Amino acid sequence: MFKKVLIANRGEIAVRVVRACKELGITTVAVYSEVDRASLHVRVADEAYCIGPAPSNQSYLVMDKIIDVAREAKVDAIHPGYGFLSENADFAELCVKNDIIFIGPNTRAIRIMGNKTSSRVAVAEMNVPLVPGMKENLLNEEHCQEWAAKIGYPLMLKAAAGGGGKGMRKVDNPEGLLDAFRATKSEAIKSFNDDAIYMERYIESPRHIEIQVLGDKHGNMIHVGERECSIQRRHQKVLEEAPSPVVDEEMRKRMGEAALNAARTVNYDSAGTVEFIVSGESREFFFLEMNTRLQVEHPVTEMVTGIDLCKEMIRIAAGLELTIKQEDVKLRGHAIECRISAEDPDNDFLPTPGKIIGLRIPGGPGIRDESGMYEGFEVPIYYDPLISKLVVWGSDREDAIARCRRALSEYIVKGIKTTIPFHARVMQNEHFISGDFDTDFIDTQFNMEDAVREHSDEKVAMIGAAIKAFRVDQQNTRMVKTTDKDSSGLNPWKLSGRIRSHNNR
Amino acid sequence: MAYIATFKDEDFRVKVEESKSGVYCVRINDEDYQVDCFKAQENIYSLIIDHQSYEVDVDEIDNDIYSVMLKDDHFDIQIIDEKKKKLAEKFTGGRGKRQEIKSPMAGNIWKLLKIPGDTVKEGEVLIILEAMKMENEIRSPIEGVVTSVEVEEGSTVSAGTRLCQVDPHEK
Repeated sequence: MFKKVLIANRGEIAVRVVRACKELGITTVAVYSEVDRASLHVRVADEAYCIGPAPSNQSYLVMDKIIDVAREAKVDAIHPGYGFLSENADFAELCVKNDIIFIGPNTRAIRIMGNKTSSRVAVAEMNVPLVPGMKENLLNEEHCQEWAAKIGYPLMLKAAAGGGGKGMRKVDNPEGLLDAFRATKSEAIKSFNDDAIYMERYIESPRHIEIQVLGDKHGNMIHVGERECSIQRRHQKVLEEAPSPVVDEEMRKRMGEAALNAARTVNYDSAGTVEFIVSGESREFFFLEMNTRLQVEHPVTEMVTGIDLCKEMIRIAAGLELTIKQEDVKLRGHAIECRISAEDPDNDFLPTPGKIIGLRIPGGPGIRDESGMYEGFEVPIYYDPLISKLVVWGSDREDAIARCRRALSEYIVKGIKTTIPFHARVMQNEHFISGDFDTDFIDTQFNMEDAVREHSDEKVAMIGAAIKAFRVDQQNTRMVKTTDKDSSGLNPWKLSGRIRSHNNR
Repeated sequence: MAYIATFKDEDFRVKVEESKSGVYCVRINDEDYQVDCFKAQENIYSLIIDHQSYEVDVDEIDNDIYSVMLKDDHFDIQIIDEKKKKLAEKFTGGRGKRQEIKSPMAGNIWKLLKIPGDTVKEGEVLIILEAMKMENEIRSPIEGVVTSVEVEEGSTVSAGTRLCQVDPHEK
């Protein structure tokens, strides 16, 4: 087993990896940018190295700096977390060159699965069902029109190098095709530095369900069930659960087999996730992409299987054999994860960086806190707004929802707005409760229902605000009276305004 | 004290009196509420109204703008002294007057799309602010002319920083 591991990440996932390492008796090395000196991952790690200025392209994304630290600290391996360098095959190769183990799959797997068209070609050979569409990239506008005629509308244009819900566009009719072609192409070059795009059929009322797999370096491979990830906002997951309310034992078996076949095409040898799109109508499933890393939402699988995916990933990278057999994988109960972000759900999810001045983390039975924050922590403006994940476990879905509601009601974050109230309202939504939703649910139906929700307690809110205003005014009157005696010559009306703004900072 | 409370563009007349320490009589339009208020923590009030217990979290986020969290809901309410409101309306209020655009959050100025002298339509993007990997568009609330821009591309701003100013067209 490794003696020392560097975690090339920040925030909650870096904390998660540190925890796994500590339980395995491994010394941990954190890296941090200048603004992350006070971040939790730096405080919980055994060693810490500053790797540059705040922007991630000058710190967390600079491969040479991370390798330099790894060599200086004499680590055996690097865990990349998710995002940043986690799916960068060049970085994985650089690790190998420097005799450092990259905690992830072989580099060929990262390369093939990192490109949508090459992954489609690879998994099609293993008879994994694909969303009907192309296995090559679009050459030009004529080529695009030809394929559109073949596939039919609505269709999807996708960046080959895209992923995680970025770089894709739905096209509803022939009139919009060429504009969409150009827009997707220019977005692809901007976001992924690669303008290759391809086309596939649009699946109606799509659900996003993914299968977690674990493979080792000795040819063993298992799947550990699915996660339901259809609750998305603008193609970004916001809430996940396991198991899915629409997957039964038979479908799980078929999806699991398909996922294993996809993973076998690249001799997958780590923790990974095969994402499927599932038709809400026919329940047919189609391969979307494979993520060759630990996912944000991995804890829901851990909660229902009892398997520590993060530790398994490290053990596998150290060359150990997978000890869990497929028949040992049993799902027990139901788990839900709410992504808590520094965003204002009542103001179009605008980011809300700032200082956390008060924090109460929920506790009690079945609650797991995956947090990267603490009271007094200032959420920086440079990175992803995810600050914490609330994970709950219940004996069944109904129980998990009730527990999630209870936990959210205990959760207090003061100083910045967060998505906690959004999650609380999702937990009350009848479509969510009945399990009847697809990936468009939040952006369309829920938003409409949420916007017209009854503000039944608006008078109480107004009373609270009015009493606060009253108290501030009373206090200021008293203060103005005392300062008046100094006769500093200032207009008391102006002074009152000034005192007031001081008081409230 | 008499206030005007504004919530979702609707005005309410609010009067607050402290009848004894911690007990308030609050009148909203024509309805009276007896409120027992205990300050549990900075910004957190425990309210008992007609034996119903509420926990409200009240922050003054800008001058006279209060952000209230209550159960699963969130309210932005303006509470302004009645006299001050009348005074303010006389000088700056209304959409026919000069608009000072302030940053809604901390971030980096990524792009300035308008320079002083440019005419803009209502809702047109003035500035793109980058925060937490997201681009946020700052739009003009009125049709008019950009009369000043007070930040530079690449500079860091905090919430409430003055970004620019838009004047309505001369009538």
